[in-house]
Amino acid sequence: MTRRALRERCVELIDRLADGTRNDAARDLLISDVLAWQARSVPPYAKLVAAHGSAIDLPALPTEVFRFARVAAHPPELDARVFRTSGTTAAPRGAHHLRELDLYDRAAHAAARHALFPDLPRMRLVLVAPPVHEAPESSLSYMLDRFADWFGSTRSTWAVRDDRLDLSPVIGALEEATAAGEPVALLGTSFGFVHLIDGLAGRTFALRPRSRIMQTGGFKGRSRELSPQAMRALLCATFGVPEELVIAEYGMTEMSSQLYENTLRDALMGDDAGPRRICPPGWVRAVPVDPETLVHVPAGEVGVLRVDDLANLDTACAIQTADLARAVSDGVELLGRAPGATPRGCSLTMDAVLGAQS
Amino acid sequence: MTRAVPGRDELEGKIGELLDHGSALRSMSIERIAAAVTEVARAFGDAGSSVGAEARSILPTTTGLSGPMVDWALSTAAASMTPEAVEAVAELATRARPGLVAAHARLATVVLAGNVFTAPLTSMIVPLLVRVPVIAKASSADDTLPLLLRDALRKADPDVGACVEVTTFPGGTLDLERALFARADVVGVHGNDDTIRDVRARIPSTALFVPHGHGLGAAFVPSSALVEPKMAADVAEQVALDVAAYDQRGCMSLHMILVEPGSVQIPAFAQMVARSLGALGSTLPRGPLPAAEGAAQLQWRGVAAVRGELFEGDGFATSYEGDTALRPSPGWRNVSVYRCSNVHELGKRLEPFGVHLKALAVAADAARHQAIAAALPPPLAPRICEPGQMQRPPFGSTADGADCWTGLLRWIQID
Repeated sequence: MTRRALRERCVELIDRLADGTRNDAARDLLISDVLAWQARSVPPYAKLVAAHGSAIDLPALPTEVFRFARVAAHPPELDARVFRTSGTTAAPRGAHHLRELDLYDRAAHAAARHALFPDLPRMRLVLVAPPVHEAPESSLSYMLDRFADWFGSTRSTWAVRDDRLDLSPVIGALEEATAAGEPVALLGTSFGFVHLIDGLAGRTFALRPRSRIMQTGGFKGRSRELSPQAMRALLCATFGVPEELVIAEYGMTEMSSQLYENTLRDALMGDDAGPRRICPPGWVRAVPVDPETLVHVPAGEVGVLRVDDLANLDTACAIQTADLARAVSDGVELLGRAPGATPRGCSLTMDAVLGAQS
Repeated sequence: MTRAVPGRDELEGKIGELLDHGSALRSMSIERIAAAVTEVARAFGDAGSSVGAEARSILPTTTGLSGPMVDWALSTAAASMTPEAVEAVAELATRARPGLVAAHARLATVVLAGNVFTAPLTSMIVPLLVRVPVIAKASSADDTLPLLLRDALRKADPDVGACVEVTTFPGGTLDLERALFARADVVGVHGNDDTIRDVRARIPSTALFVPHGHGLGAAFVPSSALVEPKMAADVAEQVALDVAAYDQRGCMSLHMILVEPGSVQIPAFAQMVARSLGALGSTLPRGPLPAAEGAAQLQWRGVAAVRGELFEGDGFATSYEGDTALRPSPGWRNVSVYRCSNVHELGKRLEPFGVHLKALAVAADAARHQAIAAALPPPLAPRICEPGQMQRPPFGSTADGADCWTGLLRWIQID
């Protein structure tokens, strides 16, 4: 199977499942074919497969590997875009080398249309993140920039400028939308929202019906940390948005697709409401695995989340995250990120150690 | 065995009693204190004794270590507490110094960590040998051994046992911490950097602060230890024990093995370590792997497989990662082997670990140990030992480059 043929199949599957329909058998078959091709074409993945011998069938590549090796089937000169993980030390940052942006865009558009904007073609966006020209290596900024094009009205607002949170355009946008009776979508990082709310110093809003909030990315030590429940409650109280319209997005630099919580779509579209959970789009498989055997753990048991993302055709389709999760219904419940590879008895972080050696 | 959180009055009452017992302790003979300590150590080392059996029955559950690992840890820690070693600590700490008179601390407070469950056998005993009453704040996750130790001392010698107390409450319980530190002349703290920082900010300015931050260990295998396969296999067996001990959760646990090129190829040596870890899986099995540590292990092993060679087995892994940047493992019996050209390079590569490097095993004779110690750049000050000894230091060893009795005595100078 050639890359061209696999790409055609990936595009066809993403487009076919964009409306939320599922065909897990087709997905799994294509994942197997893509992994078999990547095991021949992506050198770090080939090494991982060789190291695990035949004991484990097509393992997932840990996200840490993206910090230490180029994970790509193509040479650097064919990179269309490189997204990098955030980092605060001299330690290596993870890099995702994309050969093309079309697969990324298709996946991002389809998943967001289904889970985040199922009801309105366009709406006012307030983006709590740096704009893409200020953070060209941030996959989140790129994604939000695309959202502004695809789903935003002409009055979308970026809340971060020159690496600083700028409150006045945010307040202006929220006031204007409220006065005009327009719903608003606030999209950004969890730590960005904490800083925004702290900056508002107790000021609250009563955003119009169908307003919504999407938060992503955890706190990364860049703000005070809140539990998911406390964070949702704070967002609801500050912006006057009902809890079911506040959802988390699960994504990472190393993935091209995004996963969203189900409650917003369920509430707006009258879908069957189940427990709050992260639901993968049809071209993504998300399963918690046993960290020692790498086999899927039974539903309800805690494992380490493995994500197989067919939009990652040119890098690593099978991503082994460090997130603990349990399978719930048709999705997963995230239980938080495991601490990094830090020695148990040592408070030196891996970043500090690697940074000091670089 | 975890107790209910004490009230402030209760805690202050216990501390008051300890202080009251201090004068009796200070007039007690070293021989009497040492006798009580060695009797207790013998009991912990003996699986057939009442306290030895109780410890071996409870600790696998509370620590997450396997039964054989708990037995090994208790036996080796107790074996180091010979009468000679115990008396030597007392004598060395209190030996007369010309023109100086010893002034004992009135009370030592020790904040224990939960990663190495036998640590209280040193932290709670050394103050007694220097004739200083001690109160230990045990890890809120597991206070089994501190309580068993206190009770065993009280049984062996009620007067000595009256000078040791144990309390447990969640870290950051400010009113209890204030009570715990208020009357201490010296506060020893075991924990990660955050704990050290937090406690340091809360102890009275008049108390001496003795931090024991978390850390890790490394090993150096010079080419002289790799002359032929049998020698290399013997070294591999010993370093594997340093990895397996306490499931690599200790602050002296071995995370990185730096090997000087020799007759035996370095990847082959890494495989020998893996084979030895496999063998230890039967005699000293690893405890269950928690999910969070399993997640970190998956990441670590994945990187190892990609940047070098990975030798995995049931409950362990060894990697060979050439001369790439050193990378501590997540513990739970995962260790990396690196190439290292010489001692100068060894110091250079270990330097970033600074005070966190607590132990360095060197597969060479004492003269080479001396030479390597002298060649290490500051601020490195690890304990240097033979492979196989990293997690069983002699009783009374230095801790963090300082005497284990630091702060328990001050000296009155007479001009």
